[in-house]
Amino acid sequence: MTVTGADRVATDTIRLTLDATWDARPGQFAMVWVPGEGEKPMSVVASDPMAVCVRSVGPFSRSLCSRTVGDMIGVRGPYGTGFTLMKDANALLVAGGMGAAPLAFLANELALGNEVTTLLGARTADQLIMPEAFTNTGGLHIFTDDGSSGESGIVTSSLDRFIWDTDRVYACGPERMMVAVLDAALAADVPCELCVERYMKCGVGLCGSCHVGEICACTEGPVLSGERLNGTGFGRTARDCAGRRVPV
Amino acid sequence: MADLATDLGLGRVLAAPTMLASGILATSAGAILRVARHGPGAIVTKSVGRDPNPGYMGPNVVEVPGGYLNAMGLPNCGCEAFAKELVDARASSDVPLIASVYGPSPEDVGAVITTLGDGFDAVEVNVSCPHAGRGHGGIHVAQDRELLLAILDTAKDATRRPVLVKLPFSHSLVDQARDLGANGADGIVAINTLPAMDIDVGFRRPVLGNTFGGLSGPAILPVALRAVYALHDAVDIPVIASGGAVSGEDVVKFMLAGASAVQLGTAVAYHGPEVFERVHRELGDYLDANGFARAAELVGGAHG
Repeated sequence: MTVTGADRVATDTIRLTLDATWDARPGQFAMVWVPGEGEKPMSVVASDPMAVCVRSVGPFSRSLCSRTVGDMIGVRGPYGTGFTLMKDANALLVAGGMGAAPLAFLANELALGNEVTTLLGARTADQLIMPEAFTNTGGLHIFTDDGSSGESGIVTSSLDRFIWDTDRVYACGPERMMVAVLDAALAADVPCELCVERYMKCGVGLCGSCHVGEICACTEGPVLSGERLNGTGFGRTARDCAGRRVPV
Repeated sequence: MADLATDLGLGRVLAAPTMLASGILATSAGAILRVARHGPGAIVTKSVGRDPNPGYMGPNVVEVPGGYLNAMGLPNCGCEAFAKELVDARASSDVPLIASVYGPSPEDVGAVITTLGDGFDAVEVNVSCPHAGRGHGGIHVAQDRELLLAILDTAKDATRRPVLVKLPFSHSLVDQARDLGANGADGIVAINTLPAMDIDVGFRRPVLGNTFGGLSGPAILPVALRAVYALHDAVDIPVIASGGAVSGEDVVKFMLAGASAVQLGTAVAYHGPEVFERVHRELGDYLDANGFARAAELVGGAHG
């Protein structure tokens, strides 16, 4: 597909818009291919036109971040499960780092007819991903590790302030952050959905590399309910590219 | 309903003549347990080698008409870590486990099997990956008679459990199987994926990160069927079919051709591990409708 937009949305992150319309739901992912560099799963950020967000962290993402309008990238999908949408409800979105990408798409879908509160976190102000995507939906509370924007600290430090008034919590971000959200949601007896990240190779439920316990994250996830994830080892161990257990 | 129980002489009777094919899902205890819940006769693990292997660069999988192309590159956590996965799987399920192993030399294959300990019911030696490099022991092992028989010997020495050998489709298949049968193999699994590739016309480049891969799925079923039919006449040991079965009817075809059991791979990617329940139901319905009391009565039935 051809890149029709390449916009910097944070100091090391770009949003790539493609000449395609996808029938995708927030939380679903695309397998993005750069010939000679590899193929990786990425959350869909918008479906019409289709877009993804890429943070430059390794050779593959650096290569992807250098794409400009008119370049081609390979994309297959959408794959996996999406977030449950609601009507006339209160939603709490908890986004850490790149976890803001699928939640920006979700915020857009929930904007009509719901009260949406977002806790958006990043290390520093210049790493905040698309805060504007969350402003039309209700309250946006920003947290940065160094206090360079919003409150100083991590998003989960203030979950207690918000979780009680909500009908569902949606979270995406570092696994430790999501575990804190999961624990808080279970304690408050509020339904929660987490968009998990695992090493995905096939994207179609064939290779097994992405399992979280007995859950195949690419077909049964990446969006999983708190009840489903509870007790699976989520938050403790993940697996590397060879399938070795690694601590989270 | 007719009896699906199947005895392949593996020391355990399988509840049904089906298996999860190697390479699909079974890379970890969790994935094995997820599949086990749906009642496969046995589960063949992802192929395991001596050392951890990250596999090839992506794309690793491409959907094509009639199946999938894949070039995973035998990713696995290495036999030492995998032994623990088998222990964990065993602790929660009594599904028969067949450990798929690979290696470039008899010593490697022997070391892998020894390291896996007693955590499996049988071994399937993979000498048929169409795109594995020499360092990993791919299709060229099957083509080297001396090496193939040496690997079988070492594998037999390394375990008391039955040793199956998974062979690729080739015009030497029947000769190789005969050789293996005469030298102590306990069963032949045929076939592996067929050598294949895809090209993206936009990039004008091969799609798979490894350029070459293997084709699985319904597209290769007639090839696998022909292989199994020919093997039935040639060997006295059980033949286990692998190659594109997605339904009870496909399983019936393979059994009529001579398979004692049939592995499902792409079917699981298409329909999830739940496919085993449907396939068993369809197989049972066929047996009932045609007056068979036991699934085993089908084996070789098309040979007249």
